[in-house]
Amino acid sequence: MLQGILPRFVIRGAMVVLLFSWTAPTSAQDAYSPLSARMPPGVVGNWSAQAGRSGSPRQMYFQPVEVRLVDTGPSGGGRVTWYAMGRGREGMATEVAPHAAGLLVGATYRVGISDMPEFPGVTVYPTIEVIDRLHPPEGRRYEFPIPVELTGEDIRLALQGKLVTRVVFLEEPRLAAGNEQTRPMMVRDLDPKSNALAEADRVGRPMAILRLGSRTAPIEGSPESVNFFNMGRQPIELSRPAISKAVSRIGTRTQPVALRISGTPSGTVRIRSTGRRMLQVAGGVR
Amino acid sequence: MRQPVAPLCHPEPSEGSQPLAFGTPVLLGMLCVVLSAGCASVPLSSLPPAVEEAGSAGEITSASGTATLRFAAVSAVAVAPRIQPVHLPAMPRQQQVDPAGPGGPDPAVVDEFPDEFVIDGGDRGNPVHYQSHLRYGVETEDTIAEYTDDEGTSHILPSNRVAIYAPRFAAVRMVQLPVEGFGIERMAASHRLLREVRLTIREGPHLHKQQAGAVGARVRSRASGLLAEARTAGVSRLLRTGEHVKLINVFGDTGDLVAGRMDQAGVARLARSLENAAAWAGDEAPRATASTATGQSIQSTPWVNSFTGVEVKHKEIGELKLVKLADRDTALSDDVVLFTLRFDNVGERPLTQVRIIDNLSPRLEYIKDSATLGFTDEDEKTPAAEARGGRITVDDNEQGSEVLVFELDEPLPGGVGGVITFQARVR
Repeated sequence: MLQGILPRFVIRGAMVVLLFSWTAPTSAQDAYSPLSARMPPGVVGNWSAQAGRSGSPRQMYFQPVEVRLVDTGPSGGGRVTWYAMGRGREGMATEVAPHAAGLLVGATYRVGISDMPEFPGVTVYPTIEVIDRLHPPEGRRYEFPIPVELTGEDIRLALQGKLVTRVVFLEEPRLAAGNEQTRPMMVRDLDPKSNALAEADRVGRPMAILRLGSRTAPIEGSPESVNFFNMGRQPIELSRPAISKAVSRIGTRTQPVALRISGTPSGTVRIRSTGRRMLQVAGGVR
Repeated sequence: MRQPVAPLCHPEPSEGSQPLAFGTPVLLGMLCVVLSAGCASVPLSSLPPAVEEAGSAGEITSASGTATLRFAAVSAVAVAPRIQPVHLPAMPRQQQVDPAGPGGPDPAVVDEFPDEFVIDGGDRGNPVHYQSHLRYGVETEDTIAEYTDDEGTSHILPSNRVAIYAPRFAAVRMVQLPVEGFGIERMAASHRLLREVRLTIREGPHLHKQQAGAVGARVRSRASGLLAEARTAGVSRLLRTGEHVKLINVFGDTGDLVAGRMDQAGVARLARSLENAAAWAGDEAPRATASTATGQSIQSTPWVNSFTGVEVKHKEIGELKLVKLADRDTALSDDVVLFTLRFDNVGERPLTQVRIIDNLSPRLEYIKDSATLGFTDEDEKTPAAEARGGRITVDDNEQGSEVLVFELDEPLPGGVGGVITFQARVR
């Protein structure tokens, strides 16, 4: 009799012990996050593209991204150079910041920040990885770009040899703080060992990753320069005609490159250089 | 002509609670307090300053140097500011707002990506409900109307949802020194220590599974004894075969009685019965009787001479409809959005205690004194004394924004509606 009851009690006791020893995750921070902002540029974007955020291959979506410079000087604070799928300087377009361009969701682009009055002669080359898109009303995409801000503090940290990583996220309105929209935007510093992408995903929807270091550009014409400036070899969509007037690399001023842009505001933009070589075709396979 | 209602004196002055003249005995005044269901009349000259301040919210009447103050026997609360009245004879703003028109946010996009919109209206999450006379479920973005019909039933009605495309961004930043990071991560690797201890191998011999299995004599005892007995016990199952005998009363099987007809055999059987009856009845001979009934038909034609009408005094019960609109479908930070709340009593009987509650999203900031109120049956020619009124109360919703409570002063008659507008700044 006792031999038949005892194992039953043992089993029930073990189940009770297991029940109380198991505890549910206390917060979203305990959840496993396979992606991190510390991954190499392009990894998160590839995951996002495979998840279908970039649209179908025949109808790729160009998400407007606006580069803003804060505390780097008056009148915009400098210039931003977009590097697109192309060869050498012909794939560049330089504009006075702030400036927006359509970037493919899931791709990683190299941009150049130069002519900053507070940092004379300094050019930095951050990367922008677009990992999600917005859904504005038809024909009003450039009214609601993803803002990517670079402050003077970011530039100083980068020049000191540090790697600055910013994850721009769309605030969840129900979790948003009840304060005014600030310029520059609200930025919260995280511990270097934390997962910035997971934290941004906790309070909103990550949209873009900005990585800024002090790396200098390789020598023009070298094999490294192709991979450096055209990271994803992806097209780019410019919102308005651009004239590259002062493209500066490592402080050397080069001759301006004229670009002619034609197309409709809603989609396809075709940019040709003066040398009649096609620079890029955006707006999907036509 | 409607009279303005004192905000703090809920019951209207009854006939039995007329103001007392100066010098009326105190006992008579106390009796009037009891009869007037909580409303007291106190000489104004005897009021302390604090009570005089409260009297400004009540109703004061004076006659020939006599002043009385009438107030309800409830705790005084802060009087909400009165909404700025506005007359809407044609309501031109309403004609410009069409939520279903082109250019508005696609509802499918709003449902799939609500984080790109500032939403106000509806009843999201936990539905608004009452429990122990307390209201629950009014979350941010909710807009509901409360009202009571003339049968005393309370209702809660959510409005529609208004979505304004206004994404807002923020960022998290991380500054690293790659060299330092590598060093710390390698030192933190404790995998080797765990492997050297090998706790899993030591615990291996202590597994009790095999011992427990060997002790399992219980299984054999059950297999050898009880199951066999159970099978043999099944043989004892008996089937009872019962015999059911159906008795047919052949005496009642008279076809002529059932079918109602009589053939030759039936006539013979009747004759035999008559003989038997005659033989048994003696001198009382049976006889058959028959009668013939003559049918008559009556035809009549009704002729209408007069009609009598009965008035049915049944009116449709009051019902509130609430629609929320916004004057724009996209907004940037610091833009001002004009919200419009259109409420209508689509029934025929009045509604009382009409109250509209709007719990704003944290992305919206109410602009002070921007609320207006107008009714469809009033215009600029309506005397101010007859105009309806309403009040607005602005409270902190403890979630970074405000909750607006619009309350109508008077019952809302059937077929009458109104418009509340207010402005909010997008954060």
